[in-house]
Amino acid sequence: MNKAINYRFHIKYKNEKFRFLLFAFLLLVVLFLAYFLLSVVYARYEMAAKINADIDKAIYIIDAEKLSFNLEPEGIIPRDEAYTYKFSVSNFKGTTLSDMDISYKVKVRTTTNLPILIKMYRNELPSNTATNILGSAEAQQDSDLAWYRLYTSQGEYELPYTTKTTDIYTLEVSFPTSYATNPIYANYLESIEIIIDSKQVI
Amino acid sequence: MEDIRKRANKIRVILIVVLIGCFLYLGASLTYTAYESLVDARVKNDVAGISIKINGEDVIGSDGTLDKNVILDNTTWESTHTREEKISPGSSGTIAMELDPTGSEVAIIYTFKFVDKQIDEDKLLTFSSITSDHTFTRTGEDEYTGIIPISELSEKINISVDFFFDALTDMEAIEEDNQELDDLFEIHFHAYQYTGEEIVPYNG
Repeated sequence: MNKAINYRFHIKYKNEKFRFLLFAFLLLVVLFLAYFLLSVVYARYEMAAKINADIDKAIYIIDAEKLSFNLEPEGIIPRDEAYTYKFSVSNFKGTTLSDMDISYKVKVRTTTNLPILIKMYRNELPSNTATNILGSAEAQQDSDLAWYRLYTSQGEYELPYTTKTTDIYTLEVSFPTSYATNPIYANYLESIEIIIDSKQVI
Repeated sequence: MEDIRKRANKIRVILIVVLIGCFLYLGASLTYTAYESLVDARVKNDVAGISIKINGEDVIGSDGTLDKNVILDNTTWESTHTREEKISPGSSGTIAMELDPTGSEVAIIYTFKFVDKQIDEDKLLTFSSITSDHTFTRTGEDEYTGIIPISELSEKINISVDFFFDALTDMEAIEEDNQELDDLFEIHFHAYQYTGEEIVPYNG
């Protein structure tokens, strides 16, 4: 009886062992397959690069001196002779020349405190035959409601990139003697701003 | 009898857990020792498979750096009223590239992504067109894709990329050109093994 039971148990144990080994083998196969499939996906070749071009941007130089100043009451009095102020506009600074042709206009903005007359001469000294480059004044009001006069040059001037160029300007300010008797202007200050409005020639 | 069955089940579970543990460990260690870095579910290859040169410069750096910076110096620019080889608003130019896949062992899919003023307004230049003796598909607003089949791995691909500097750009006075090359534009080149995926044209 015991022998028979032991024999049946032995058979059962062998079956169980076989099923277990079969299961382990299948599991092994599945895991190997999964691993290799994953490896194939992960081993896909790839490369990346950022490409730039070595390009130089043109240098844009416009150098203007003496661009704003005040006419103090003690510095300007009504007289027959005009006051003159000089400034220059260049397309280079030191040894560095602009890489592009530049065109510009000259604008002069003044406060309206004094009854002055403005003229401007380009590359020539003031004289009866010299040409005043400024057009007539245009009234302007800023955000603070202050009024200004704006004079703009009638022409546009070019500074070629091929040559170091300097334009010399003379601003002539007249305060006629007819105002000398009016004490109201004695304490007023006039502000003058010169604007160089430049752009690249295309 | 019942005890023996329970014991067998217990041993089975333990063996399965040990096996899974072994495979996970094996898989993880092999992945990292073989490839070192994983990005976007793909290994960036530094051994073999793809070899691409752009204007003679290997995209795979000698130090194994993959996100390499290739600087092209063969650009031709047309600018009026501007010194030769300098760019200013109104300039237009062409960048010539030669893509050399010689030495690659697999079919390649590659993309050019143009990061220009339309994509990033801080860039100076705007991409206008790409031309080549090879066929491209526009696959994004700023992206073009090409395929190099195995049969064409020995052929070099010539590509011309046209850019322009918008004439309406306000240019402030500058006394020196101190900008970085990235300020002009960037082209992001990306290549990987082509496995037959569909190229979907951009319909924007």
